[in-house]
Amino acid sequence: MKIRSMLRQGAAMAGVVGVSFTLGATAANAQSFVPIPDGASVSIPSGTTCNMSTEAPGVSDDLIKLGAFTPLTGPVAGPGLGAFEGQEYVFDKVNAAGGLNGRKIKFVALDDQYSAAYAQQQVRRLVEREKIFAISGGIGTPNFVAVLPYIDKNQIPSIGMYAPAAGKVGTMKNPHVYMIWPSFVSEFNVIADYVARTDPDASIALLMQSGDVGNDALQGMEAALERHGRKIDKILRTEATTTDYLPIAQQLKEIGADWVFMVIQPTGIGQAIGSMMKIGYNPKVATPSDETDESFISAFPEEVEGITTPTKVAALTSDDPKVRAFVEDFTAVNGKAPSMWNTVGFAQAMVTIEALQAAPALTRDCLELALQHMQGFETGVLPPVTFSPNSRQGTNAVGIARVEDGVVVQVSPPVLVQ
Amino acid sequence: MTLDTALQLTIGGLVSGSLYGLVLIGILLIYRVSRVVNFAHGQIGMVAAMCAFFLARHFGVPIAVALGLGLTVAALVSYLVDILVISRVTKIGPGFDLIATLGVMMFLTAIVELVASPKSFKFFSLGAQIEFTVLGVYFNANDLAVIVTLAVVLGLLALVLNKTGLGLSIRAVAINPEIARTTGINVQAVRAIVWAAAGAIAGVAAILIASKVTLNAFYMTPFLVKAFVAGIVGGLDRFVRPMAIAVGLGLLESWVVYWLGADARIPAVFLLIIVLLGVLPSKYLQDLEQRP
Repeated sequence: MKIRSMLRQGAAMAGVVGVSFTLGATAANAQSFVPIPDGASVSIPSGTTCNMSTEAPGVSDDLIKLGAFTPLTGPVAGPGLGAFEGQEYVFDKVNAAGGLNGRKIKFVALDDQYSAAYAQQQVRRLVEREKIFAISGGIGTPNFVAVLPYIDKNQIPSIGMYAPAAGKVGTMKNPHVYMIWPSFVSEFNVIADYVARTDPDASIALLMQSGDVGNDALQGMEAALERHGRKIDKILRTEATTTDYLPIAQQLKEIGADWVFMVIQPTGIGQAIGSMMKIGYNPKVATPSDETDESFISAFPEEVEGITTPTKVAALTSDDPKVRAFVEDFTAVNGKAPSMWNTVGFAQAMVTIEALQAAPALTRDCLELALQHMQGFETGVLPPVTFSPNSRQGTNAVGIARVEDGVVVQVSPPVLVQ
Repeated sequence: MTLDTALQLTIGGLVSGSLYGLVLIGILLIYRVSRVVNFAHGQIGMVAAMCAFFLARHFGVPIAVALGLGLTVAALVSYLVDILVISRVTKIGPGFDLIATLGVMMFLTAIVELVASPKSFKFFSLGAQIEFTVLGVYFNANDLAVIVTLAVVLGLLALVLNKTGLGLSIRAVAINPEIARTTGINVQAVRAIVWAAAGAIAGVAAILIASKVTLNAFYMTPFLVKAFVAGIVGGLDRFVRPMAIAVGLGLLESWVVYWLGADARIPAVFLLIIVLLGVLPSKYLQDLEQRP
């Protein structure tokens, strides 16, 4: 039985390696509705047990209480609210269909304002006062990384939080955190590799924000360029409170790089590109995947044109039937097309529901057991999600897109990043 | 470094410094007549920009009219802050005005987030598309508008303060409101005019800043911090010195970012303050303390 299970896991992993966002694009899947996850991707080997006897907080005969701490106000509220809407969309669908075995989902999202200090308070409120069963989703790296010790100490299953901190999240260092997003190391590894392949003689500059995010991007870029015998020609550093990007643009112009990679906060990217345009310097620009969100594109319509970005979710203009179904259904329910951050929340909640459906019992231990045996779960907007008892990175694939005429166009399909 | 680079950095620094100066003017005016450090000043300006943006974008109001209405709203909000909050809390005791203006700042932020959503918006370009290149130096009409606006506002202010009866009343209230009242000056009316004017000037600053960055509930904060730095170092009860420091800060930042990188910008600003306070003659510091 154990060997059969290993074979199944191996087959699932092979599926992940061959991943593409056009997965399952068959006539059978060309349905115009978004199916509620049914736990079918989870296959728990017989003989594997979990603690079913402990009384789980947040679970009653008619309710499962899930929580998230995420920025709902403040400078990062846009992504936080977007992902929150995406999760609510899924939980509302589940509840409208009668819930999970008669239990409705109650989702409590508390505002941490993207602050580590507030996140510390809110996670305690969620766990100790609201008595949630598990954490589902949320946005933000510094706020989430700050509460990792608390999550670890209290063994709270935490599913799909968008906190791409390399080395801290998605590893066995924090075994209760189940990651489904690529880190900035992966994003910039893939996009630097793409530039090195497609533009072999180009010179490259990096404008990076000091701190973990910038360092992760730098690490990913250097690793990719080294494979091609290349290096970054010039690195400029900045910080989040910069308001005048003209001197930086001037420096970049003098460097004269063909490509400028930017890893700074979104409004900074818009202003930096605007400043470069202002002084007549128009290099090719690569940014993090966050800049594929509609809110960024509408805020910087001229600046965003032509930028190249990694992608962490499927392009919403994709012809893939599952993506189309999500876009159409979300639009019908909410009266507006989904944004990239809505899609992030959708994927987070789908993984949570899949694990809840498959858990042998509604205890935290059993929920984690289900997560650890999730193999090739398809959200439709992410490559298949596969965890294992020894892996907390459910998927780690990055594609390449370009903004053309205000629309995010997929340039190359996602590839698995090691 | 080439000449055009040096000029480009200088013009960019002048524009940034002028924006700090425009934010600072209202802070100085309010401090003069009320002895209040108004932390809500930036957010009052932000309200003007938000109002103008939503009136034009969602209600089709012509941009010029929307901007005028935005400034009117900022003037009204500033006036109401004085009438409803400041004039009451200052009676409680010293220090409460600081807490009150911080409270107003957070209140306005929360209201705007609630009404306008916390997203960032692309504001009107206000002349940024009218571009010039002279001697290899790029600038646009928006940059010129910032520098000219600061000069015009300062000129008008000097005219009003030094050549009109209202200016005399403002200066009298600034020196001693009680004595001014005994001479027949309507102190409350003078305060109302100054708070409203400061609100409108904050609106002008916020609208110009929004045209250069992006509009959201928080975009004024870094500019407010720089304005306060210039105000505190230069003296909140003066005009020329703090304004010169504000413009100088913009120039310093521009050159520091170019030579040392953006990481060095904030350390350089605070190093300058430490050096200034360390080397300034003690007479200057005593002067700052002793002025009413």
